[in-house]
Amino acid sequence: MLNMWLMIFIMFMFGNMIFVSKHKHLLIVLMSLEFIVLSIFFSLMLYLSMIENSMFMLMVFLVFSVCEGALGLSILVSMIRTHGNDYFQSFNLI
Amino acid sequence: MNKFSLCYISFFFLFFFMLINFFMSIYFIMNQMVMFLEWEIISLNSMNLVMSILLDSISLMFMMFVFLISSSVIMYSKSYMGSELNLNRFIILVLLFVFSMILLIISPNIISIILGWDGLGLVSYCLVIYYQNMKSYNAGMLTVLSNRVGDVMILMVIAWMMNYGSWNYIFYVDFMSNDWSMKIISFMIILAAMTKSAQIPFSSWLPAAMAAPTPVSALVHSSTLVTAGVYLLIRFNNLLMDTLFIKMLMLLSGLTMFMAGICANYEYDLKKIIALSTLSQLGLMMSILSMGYCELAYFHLLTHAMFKALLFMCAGKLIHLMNDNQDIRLMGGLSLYIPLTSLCLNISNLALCGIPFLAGFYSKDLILEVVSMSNLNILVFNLYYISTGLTMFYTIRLLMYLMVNDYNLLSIYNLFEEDYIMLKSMFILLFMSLISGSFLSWMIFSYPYMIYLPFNLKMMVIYVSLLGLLMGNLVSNTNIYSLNKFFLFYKLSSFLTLMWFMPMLSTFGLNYYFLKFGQKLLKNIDMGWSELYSGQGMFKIIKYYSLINYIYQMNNFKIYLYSFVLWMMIYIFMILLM
Repeated sequence: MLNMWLMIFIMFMFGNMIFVSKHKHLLIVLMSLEFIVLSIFFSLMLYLSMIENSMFMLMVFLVFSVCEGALGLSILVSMIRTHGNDYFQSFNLI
Repeated sequence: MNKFSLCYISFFFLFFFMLINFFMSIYFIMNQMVMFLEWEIISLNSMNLVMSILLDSISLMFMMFVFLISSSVIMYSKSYMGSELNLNRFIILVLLFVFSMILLIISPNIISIILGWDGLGLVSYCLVIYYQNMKSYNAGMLTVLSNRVGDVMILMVIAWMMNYGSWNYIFYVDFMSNDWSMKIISFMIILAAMTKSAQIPFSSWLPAAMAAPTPVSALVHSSTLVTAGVYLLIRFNNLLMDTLFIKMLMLLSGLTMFMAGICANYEYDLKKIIALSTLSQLGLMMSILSMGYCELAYFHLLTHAMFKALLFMCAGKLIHLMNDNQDIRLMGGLSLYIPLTSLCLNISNLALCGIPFLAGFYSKDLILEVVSMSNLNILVFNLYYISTGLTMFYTIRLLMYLMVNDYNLLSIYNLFEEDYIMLKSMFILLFMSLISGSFLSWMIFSYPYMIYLPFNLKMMVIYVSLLGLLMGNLVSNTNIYSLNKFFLFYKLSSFLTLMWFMPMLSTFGLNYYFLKFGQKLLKNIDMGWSELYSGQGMFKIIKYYSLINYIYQMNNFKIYLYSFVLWMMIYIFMILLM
């Protein structure tokens, strides 16, 4: 069971790394976010399987994550409609 | 609209007061009375606030003369300033001036003296700037700031007199004259009198104050304001007798007399010549007072007031006749065209010189004889006699330019002198300047002075006067082939004509070096170091460092997020390991 947690941890970390580092296409960022969501889904399933009568929480989480994915894709579509591409290299902290 | 002018009313009131003072002064002299009136304003436990008035024969006689001159001047200014829109304002200023002078004359304590003294300075400033142009403003500023020095001196006298318990100096002047505080007070009083009467360090305001209207000059700068200093010294006479400062005053006033006599010979402006002549006679008054003869100073004060006011009034009439022109090179031959005015001019000028039996003779000749009888060094003796010769010199020069040489203004002239308002006021003073010498010498002196002189010393006055007459005749030669030797001795001539460069002390010396220092401060500090440390320098520093800050902050978003993820990894890894 423990190596499941290790795998989840690795998935989560790599999803974060890709989210942080790949800033050329917005689609990559959104896909990394989905990957992170997937790892959290898996970890949530592993966790909730140990608690009786509470697997329904997973379904709630799934609904919310799908909404989030849909919102992200709609932002991508509107950005493509305004800018013509999905490059977003101009992010500065200031 | 009915223009109601205050001239007639004030003339009648002042003339009435003059008559009252005349009879009272004769009564007081004959019965040797002194009246001291006191009004106790408030009296707390041990403090009495008392307003006192000293009616002495000296003060009553002086008040009579002040009222006489001011009534003539107000009558004169009805016609002189007749086209002035705000004549009532002018008359009220003159009446304020007379009121301040009266307050100064009748006061036995130093507090009401300073009320009168400050009032004189302030009202004379208002009168000098009456024509509101740049020259009058500058002249007024010079006048009031010179007088202000004297005011400060009297304020300090008030402070020092608090040692004595009351401010009535009359009671202390002969009793406490050896006290150290009294010596300080005597120094300050002498300095105050020197500023008011325009003696040598402070003499630049009197020729400059001729920017005032001529009635103001006739009242203020001939008889009342400038003699206030002499009057103060007469009141404090017993205090000042043997101090060091009065000897200093003798030297300075003798030099004033001499310098003013020389300057008047180089001047071409009519009012400036008369102003310098006033300055010379003031020096005479101060110097005879500094020798100890205060009654002679008082006598000369009164007679001088008469003929000097008359001289100013004649000058004003001439200025009106010559179409507001004051230059004597443009006047001439006036004795033919305006006989009555030139009568007054001649008599007042000859009285000034000391021609026998006019008003000036009694005072001036007596002063010179007393000087010859007393114990002097040769410098002071020479200053007296040469200044008398110089008086004759500039007077004859003036009379030659005005009366004898040809009329120089324009080819067509209309000299309308039958302005009887001005002429009648001048005739009052003419009458007084004829008889006041003898009248006063019989009234004031209870016993005559003992004069015993060798023949040549007695004739010395006539010698210097004739010499002055000759020089005046020679100098006023305006033929086209006579050479003006001014430019041959240019440095000497400009030294003598610019009052020995002393006005530079009051004007240039007080302005230029301070302004130059201010410019240095401006260039070095305001536009220099202070900009480095606070203004532009700070701006530059903030700009530079904020740019560096900006560079530090200009990170990629990626790096920021990277650091976040890195920390998260480390944290979770630590939790996993534990």
